Amino acid sequence: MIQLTRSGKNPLVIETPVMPAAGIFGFDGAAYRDLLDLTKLGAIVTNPVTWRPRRVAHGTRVVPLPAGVLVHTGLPNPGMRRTIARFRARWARSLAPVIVHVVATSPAEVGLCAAALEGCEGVVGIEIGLHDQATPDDIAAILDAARESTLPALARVPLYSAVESARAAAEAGAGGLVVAAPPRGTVRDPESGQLVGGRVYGPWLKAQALRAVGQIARLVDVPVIGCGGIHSADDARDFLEAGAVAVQVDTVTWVQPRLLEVIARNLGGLELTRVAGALPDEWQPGMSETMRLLRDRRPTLDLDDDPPAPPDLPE
Amino acid sequence: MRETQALIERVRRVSADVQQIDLAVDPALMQLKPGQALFVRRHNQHGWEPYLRELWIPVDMRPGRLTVEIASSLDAAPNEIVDVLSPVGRPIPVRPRIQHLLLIADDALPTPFVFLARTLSGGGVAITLVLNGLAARYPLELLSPEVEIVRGDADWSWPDQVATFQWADQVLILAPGYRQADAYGRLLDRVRQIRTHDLPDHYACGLFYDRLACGAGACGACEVRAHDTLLLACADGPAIDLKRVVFR
Repeated sequence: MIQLTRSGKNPLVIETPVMPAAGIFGFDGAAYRDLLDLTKLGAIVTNPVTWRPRRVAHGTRVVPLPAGVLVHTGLPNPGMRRTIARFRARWARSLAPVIVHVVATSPAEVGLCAAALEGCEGVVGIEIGLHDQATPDDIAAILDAARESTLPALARVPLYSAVESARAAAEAGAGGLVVAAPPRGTVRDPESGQLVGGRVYGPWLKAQALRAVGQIARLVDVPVIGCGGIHSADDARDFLEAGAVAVQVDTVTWVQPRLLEVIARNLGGLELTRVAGALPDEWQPGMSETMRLLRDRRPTLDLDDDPPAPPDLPE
Repeated sequence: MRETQALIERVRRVSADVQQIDLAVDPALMQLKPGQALFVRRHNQHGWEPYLRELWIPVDMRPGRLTVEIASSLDAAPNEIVDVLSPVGRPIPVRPRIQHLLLIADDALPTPFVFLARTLSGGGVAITLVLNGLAARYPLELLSPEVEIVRGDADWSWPDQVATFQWADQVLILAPGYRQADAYGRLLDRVRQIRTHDLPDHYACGLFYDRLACGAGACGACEVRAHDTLLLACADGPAIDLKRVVFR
């Protein structure tokens, strides 16, 4: 079991240290239920939700980058009340615990969101997405507002102020820290010729996120969840080695959905395989199907038959 | 949606802009309907360039084989295996008892119309295809011979425009992402002027083949602004009734 928030009355505990990052997996994971086994995930982190509904951004929203992508959606969502109305039943039936990502628009709205989520079956925690320019006072006010709910609260800090924001969030009582939100960038859209701003993703992000996780894990006594540029089980394991208790996987889920499950299965057995000294990469896609087919085809053993004679071995 | 693999059997460069690829595919892909697409990544791709999956649009289907059309700038080679997520999107909603269909390709290659035209013209539907701007560069021999071709001009007019709208039982328009608000809004205005008393559901639909991030309905990047509900081009499109779309 992995504890994602600090010990207390209501710690957030999951079984597998792997989950999709906010904005990647939809509001309930239904988009990927036919492509991977959701039960293997530690949790599902929802797309960002605000108190008021938000429309999608105008213009270009996806621009390919060399080995990556820039995404600018405008965080479209129907608002917290409609989100709960639409997904509450699905969250209750979810195959993995649900962590709702709340955008920190203002302390008052975070408080309203937190209160609205209280009692939603299947929701085990709140992840608060801190703004890139949030000051320590802002962070304290937002985390204070999140106490409108008894749900454990994680704070997702922006990458380029990760250490300062993480310190402020830890001092303000954040249950856990997600390090980090992807940075912002600006590129020219080759189709429209316009400059487009948004968050940038890609495997190259891992080095920066990993450094931030290492610094923060040494600095604060709060569980840290690593996020940024994870594209393999080895990448994810690097975050655990740097001090994270769990990881969030982002855009590689869009590119190779099964990889999220591969990473979850791989890290799900990490403790056992490390202690036993066995190879960590024991599971590969399709292996379970192969084993099931072999098992189904295997003839029933007749216990009355003599066992086959052992082969002659040279002395 | 499911993940399968396909084998590239043949690559044909059919014009300066497009190439057609014959794919040996999983039998499940034989259920694809016009409007639905494949979301493709190279199977043995090393590294992460290109990063996102590519949208491959079918133009023809024979038993066990699918022909798709992609930009000629994209690399594809025979015997290459590709990973396929499919289907992306829903079938284009063709109105019941349709007899006359008007298709408008506005500065976009009419690839998404090819499979639809081939399917419907076999059923006796009369099809007119208007080609504006970049669309005029499309090689016409790739279209069914039954399709009537009309060439428009840059200011969005073509011969007998009013007659074509009055004659059509349904209008489908395709434009690149950066022109959709302008072109689709203009079409809706034009249609409302001509059919003042009667604009049935799905009479005028826009095709939203935007650049996709997830293709599965998870990320929200392809959301189409709608009056009544949240619509995603990848899950609810590509054809969306223009009456539902907010163009502001």
